[in-house]
This record gives sequence, C-alpha cells and structure tokens, in this order.
Amino acid sequence: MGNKASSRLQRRWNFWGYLFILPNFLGFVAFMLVPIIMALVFSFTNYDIISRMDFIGIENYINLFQDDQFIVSLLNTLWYSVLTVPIGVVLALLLAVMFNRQIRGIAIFRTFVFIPVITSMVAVSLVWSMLYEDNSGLLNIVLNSLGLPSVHWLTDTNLAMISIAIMSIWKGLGYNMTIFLAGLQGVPGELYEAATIDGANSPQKFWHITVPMIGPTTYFVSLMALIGSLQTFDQINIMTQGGPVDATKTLSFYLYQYGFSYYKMGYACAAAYVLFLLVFVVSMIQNISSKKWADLT
Amino acid sequence: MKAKKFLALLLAGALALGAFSGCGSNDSGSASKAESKSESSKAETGETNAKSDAKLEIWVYGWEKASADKIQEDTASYKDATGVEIKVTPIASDSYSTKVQATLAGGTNPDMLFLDAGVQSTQLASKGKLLGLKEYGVEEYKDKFYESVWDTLVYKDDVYGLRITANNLALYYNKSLFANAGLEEPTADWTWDDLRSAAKTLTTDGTYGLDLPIYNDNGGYCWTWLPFLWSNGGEFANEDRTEAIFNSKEGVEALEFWKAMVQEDKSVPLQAAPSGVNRFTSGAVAMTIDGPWSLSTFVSDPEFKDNFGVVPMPQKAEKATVVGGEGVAIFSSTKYPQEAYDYLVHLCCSDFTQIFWENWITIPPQPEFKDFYADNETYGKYLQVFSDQMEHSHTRPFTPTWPQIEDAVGLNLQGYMFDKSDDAQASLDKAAEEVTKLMQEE
Repeated sequence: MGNKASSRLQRRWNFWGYLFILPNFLGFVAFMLVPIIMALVFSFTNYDIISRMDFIGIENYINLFQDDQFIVSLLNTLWYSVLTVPIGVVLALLLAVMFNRQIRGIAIFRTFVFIPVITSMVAVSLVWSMLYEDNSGLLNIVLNSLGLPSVHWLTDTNLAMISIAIMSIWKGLGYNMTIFLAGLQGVPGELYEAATIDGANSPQKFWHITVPMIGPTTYFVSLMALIGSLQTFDQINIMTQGGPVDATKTLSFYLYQYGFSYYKMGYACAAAYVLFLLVFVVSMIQNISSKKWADLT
Repeated sequence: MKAKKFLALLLAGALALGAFSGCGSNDSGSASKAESKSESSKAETGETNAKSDAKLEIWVYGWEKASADKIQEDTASYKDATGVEIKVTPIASDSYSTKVQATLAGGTNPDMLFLDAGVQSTQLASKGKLLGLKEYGVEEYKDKFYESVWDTLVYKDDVYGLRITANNLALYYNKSLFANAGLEEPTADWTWDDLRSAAKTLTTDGTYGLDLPIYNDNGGYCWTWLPFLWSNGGEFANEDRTEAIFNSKEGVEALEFWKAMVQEDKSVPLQAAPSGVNRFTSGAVAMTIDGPWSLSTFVSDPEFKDNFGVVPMPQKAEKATVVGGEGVAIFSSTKYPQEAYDYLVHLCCSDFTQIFWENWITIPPQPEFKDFYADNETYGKYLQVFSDQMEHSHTRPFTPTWPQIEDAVGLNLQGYMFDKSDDAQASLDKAAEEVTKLMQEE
C-alpha cells in the first residue's frame, strides 16, 4: 500500500513536472524541432518559398560542392575558427588566472572585460568598422602618429578576416573569462598550499594544478567558442558583407544570401545542413579527443 | 493544499499562454479583424449599390508616408465613384520583400502591391504570381512612358504592372572641393577623361576624388558600372536575355577605366563607408555617382545644401545611364482582376498620379511631365538633370535570377579591382559565363 501511494505521488509529480516544461517544450518544437526537420526535407527540393517544392534528390548537395563560392566560404569559415578559437580560449584563461585574486577593485576590471559581451554585436561591429577605417580610423591614426604606415585592416583581402577575428576575440573574451573564473574558484585551495609547501613555483602550479583541474571548463569553453565561430554571421554582415571580394564570406553569410536574397531556399537549406554536419563532426572530434585531457566524469 | 494546487495550475497555464502569445498573434489577429470588417461592410453596401462591391487591399511603402497618406485620403472618393473599397496597408521598408514572400507562401497576400520595378516584378512574374495585363488592354498606355521605364515591367511578352516613379544615376560633385583644387565644375558633356583627371587632381590627403561601390556592395557595383558599359557602346546581354555579352571590347575598356582610377590614380576609396556615414556630405569624397533619392539627405544638411551640384553621367561613345524606380502590380490571386486593373490605371495613369511626384523626391516616368519640378525651389534644378537624362536611360536585362546575376558580376569584377586578378578580359569572361548560366536557369 505504501508503494502504491508513492507511485501515485510520483505520477502526480511527473504530471506537474511535464506541465511546467510544456511551454518551453512547445516553443522548442514549434521554433526549433519542426524547422530543423523541415530544413532537412527542403534541402532535397528546389523550394523557393512561394511557388514550388519538387523533390530533386541530392542535386543541391552536388551543386554546392561544385560552387567555387561555397568552397571559398567553407575555407573562410574554418580559417576564422582557427584564428579565433585557440587564441580566444588561451587569452581568456590567462585573464581569468590574472583576475582570480582578491585585490581591491578587481571587480571593476572584470566588469570592463565583460562589457563587450553584453554589448550588441551590431553596435560593436559598427564601432570597429570605424576604428578600422583606412584613412580616418583611430587605429591608423595611432599607427601614423607613431611613424608607422597605415594598415589596410578591412580592405586587404588577406587581412580582412584577421581583423574581424581580432574584434571577435575581444568581444568574446569576457564571456569565456567568466566561465574560467567559475572553474578556477572550484579548484581546492589545499592543492596550491600543498604544492607551495613542496616548493612548486607559479608556472608549475599553473601547469600541474590549474590546467588539469579546470579540464572540463576548458572543454566547455572551447567547444562553445568553436560552435560559435563556425556560425559567424553578424559581424560579417555589418562590417564587410563578405568583402573585400569574397575574403570574409562565411558559410552562414553564403546560405543567408541564397535563402533570403535569391530565394533559393532548398539550396540554402542544403548549405545549412553541410554547416550542421561540419559543426557536428568537429564537436565530435573534440569530444573524443578531450576525453584524454579533460576529466569529464 | 487545494489553493496551492490551483495556484500552480494557474501559473503553468499563464506560462503556456505566454509562450503562445509570442508567436504570430499579431498577424492572425489583424487579418481576422480585417476580414470581419470587410464582411460587415459588404453586408451594408453590397446590395444597395449597383456599382462594384469589390474590396481590394494594396500594400504601399510605409516609408513614403506622404504618398501613402494621399492614397488613403483618395480611397473615399474612389469608393464613391466606383463602389470599390480600397484598403491601404503601409509596410515598413526593411521587411518589405520578405513580407511579400512570406504572405505569398501562406496565401495571405494582398491584391496589389508597390514594388521595385524590374528586380522584384520579374521574380514574382516568373513564378506566376503577378497578373499579366495585356488582356486588360494595358498597352494603350505604353506611349505615355519612357521606353526604358516601360520595359522594366515587361517579362516574356506580357506586361506586369505600371510605373509610378523613375530614377537614374548621375554625377554629384562638391563645389568647394572643386574650387579649392582650382578646377572648373563638371559640365553636362563631361567625358570619362574629364572625370578621371578631375578625380586625380581632387585626391589629396584625406580626400578622394570619386566614390565607386567597389568594396562589398555587389548589387551596387553592377548597377553603377552598367552606365559605363553602355556609354562605351557595350551591351550587357543579348536581345533574348539568354546570354551575357558584356565581356566585349567595350566591357574591357569600361572595367579597365575603373581599375585605372582605383589602383593607378588611387582616387577612389577602397573601403565601404561605415553605415550612417555619408562620405560625400562629409567631404571625404569630392564626387559620387548617386540617384535622386539621396537629394533629401544632401539638402537637409544645412552646411552642405548649397555646396553641391549634379551633372549627367560622364560619357564616352554616347550618353547613358541606368533606370530604376517603382511600379504597381496586381497579384494573380486577386478575386477582382478587372477592378484591380482599373484602380492600377487610376494610380499610375490619371490626374491622381501626380501626387507621387509631389510627395516623393523622384522622377516622373512619363515624358509628358518631364519638367514637372521646374518650379520647385529646393529640388527643381537637381531633379531636372535626372529628368533630362531619362531619354538616355537603359533598362537592365532582368531575368528572375537578377539579384544573383548582380552579385556574380560584382564579385568577379571586384576581384579585378582588388588586384586578385590583373586580367580584365579573364575576369569579365568568368563573370559572363556565370551570368549566362543564371540567365538560362529554369
């Protein structure tokens, strides 16, 4: 009898539990799950939003890989990830270690680093495109006043992506740093005390205590940074629109053009699924490889 | 206990409601309201009036508020005269074409719409979404319009609307920068060489001679480069619009001319201006190629308003510019095609039409009104230049894939501007090959 009562209680709890997650779940189904499945279906059609949706097999996918611009966008996207993820994560960790101490006013410094994170990407991009201006931009004015030549931040086809990466690293630094700070606070102080007694110096403590202990945090931060970097769109759309020529065209920008300028939605969905696959594979690789260095248990 | 349970249920319900109210309630709400409104008015007027009881909805540009208001005011007298009830819906600019696509997909589109003549009309017409107007006798109005203007709404032997406005590109220049450089101001028969040498002279520390859209605005690149191609005697595509032919000798010359200014003279800025910054009014460039829509910006700047002038596009073999502007079209799904056509004529080819030119800084698409702005104190002298230039204007060879064609042209030719390639012919050949493929698509 006691058993029966508790299972009834359990059922009642379940009912309320499901009821409370229902609103969010419905939103998830309507705005995420259904569109994700529909996009997969669309990717095998010539869907143009208004007049047709014929099944054309894998033609979109074949066309994708025959399009120079798609390959360029793919390579640009990977290049951007290579530029932003390692440097972004390492810098964030260093900053976190630096700020992880009780000094007067440290909260102010943390806040300063975090401000770019809460500023909208649109505003940040607009300001940075002014900083990067060839003639009247602040960066070149400073360089010139130091007797250095101007740098063509956004007008050199080889440099434009690097300039965008610099801005993006700066923008994301505070977020990653905050996560790292949380990770650092979870490292038991005894470990450092013991190491100090044993005569370890600061770099040794960093490499042999801090880095291994925050493995899961590093894993989380780098995975999120990677996924974000593969989907970069906002700053491209505002600062360069993929230019000069196609030097900063990313996959997200490419598929946006096809979906919403050319209305080739089927094709754009196929590009989106290639992007999804890319994110999936890269995350998996990282997941497997991280088992070696991040203790995720 | 009971009360707690009740509260929890209430809370869950409120949460669920909150999640729902976020989605689409706006659209469905206003749509059903509109429906019930038209139902009730049908009951009131339908039987007693022998005139048409048609109800038409038309989408107009929300950002052209003055003309939208005039259309709204006019609906009452139009209803008295014809019995047709017009519902005017102003739509905001940034979402206009997306909204058109979305409502077409959902089958909730209006009966008529304002549209970008050529780009948008060809795309919609090719999908069978616009009403062909030949069978309604639209061609009786053909002679009223400039040929280039009329042609923008022609697609595959049918006509898909009438034009309300026109515009084209001309050369704006900064008077004080010309004076400082000791140069004569540009004239109506300036040549390419005049343009290039002036741009070179005007280029100093911090000032460029001429602004050209070579950075990232692919559509703008094509649109601004076309007058140069045409002026040199070149053509973009063959008559059937099935093959790109701009990789001709004329095309190569037009492209090399731009490159010479960009890379040799360095009189053109390589970078796009950050949004919100107008390089021309700020004096960062001395000349720019732009349309009449920018006049209100130039004139509203008190320090700049008397400091600029405008002349026709510089010429080489002949005078040429590109025509753009807006039109009105009817969706093929309308229940009242004849009434819609009559209203279209009322908007575009009647005495009422003049309200567009009175309230919208633009060019009349009808040669009969060539001097419409002659007495306008603020804009007259500038608009006259554009208006006079209409006779040299060309239509872009629209196909349903035009936005993609513009990007293909822009991308390949920008590669040449940015020295990714130093072979003008090869860049044009590659662009032409891509454009031909796009023209033949479907």
